[in-house]
Amino acid sequence: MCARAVRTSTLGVLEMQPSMTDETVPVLKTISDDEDLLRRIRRGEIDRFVDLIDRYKDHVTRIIGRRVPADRVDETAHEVFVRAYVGLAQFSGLVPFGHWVASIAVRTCYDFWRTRKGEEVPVSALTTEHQQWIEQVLASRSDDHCSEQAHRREAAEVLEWALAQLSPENRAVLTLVHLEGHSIRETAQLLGWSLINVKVRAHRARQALRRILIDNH
Amino acid sequence: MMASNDETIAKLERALIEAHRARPTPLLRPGWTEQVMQDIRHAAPQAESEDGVECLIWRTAGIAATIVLIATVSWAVWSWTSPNEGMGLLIEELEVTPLVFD
Repeated sequence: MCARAVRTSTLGVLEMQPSMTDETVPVLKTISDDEDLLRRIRRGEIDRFVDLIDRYKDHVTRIIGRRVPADRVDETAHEVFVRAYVGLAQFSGLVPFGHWVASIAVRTCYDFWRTRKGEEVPVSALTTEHQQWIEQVLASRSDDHCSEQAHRREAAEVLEWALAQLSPENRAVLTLVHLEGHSIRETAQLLGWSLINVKVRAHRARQALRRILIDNH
Repeated sequence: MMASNDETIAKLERALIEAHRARPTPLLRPGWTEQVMQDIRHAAPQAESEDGVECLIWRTAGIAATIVLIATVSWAVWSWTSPNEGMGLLIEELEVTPLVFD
């Protein structure tokens, strides 16, 4: 009864957050199927895990595709599902499996940037094309024109350039809170951090991004 | 000047947010699922043994805690019900020893 109440409220949150849920996964319909599958996997039918992968791989790649370089998506998604399998004993079922696996995906991406932290990846400077893109965005008078600019290749590259200058912690929080519009509570749950930590980091990360943008335009 | 700067940054932020949301979902290479399943089959015995070790640790901790609890309760009951010599001697001592200002 209690678990059902939590599940319903969590679903409510998920339905309000399209960025973290996959529109192609009908969450309500899959919950009972997931429970059945998980029961079978726990009983030793390992091969049934492939059904869970098929069901959630688009959901996971959508999350990962927005966080790691394109050439690292396959291996990161791979790691997410292996982690999910190994950690299956910790899945209580109080939240939908999709939400749980999303949390693993977010944390795996955070770990990806944490392990690269020591590698001293050089941050390339903005090119003339990027500078021109910034000028065009600033010069745009209508929202439509601004939106049109956001879909250009340069937009993604400028975003990547700005994110590359943030710490892995700031990057993770900024992506969830400011770029995807998650609440502080949801972000804390997804990252497994305290509310206060997320709140402070969200503020600092936004300030850091603003400083980067001001210094370079 | 400040307001203008804020407006400029806000414009850029909005464009970057939209750029983030507009990122296409990447496609996984063919055969990706089979490769993941291969690793999972490989990880399965390891995960089971880890579960087993974790289970053993918790079981041992539970048994140890129960033994400690039983021992503590037994000692408390025993010290309460048995003739309390130590306490008796202390009371006797207090009765015999005159107080400082007596």
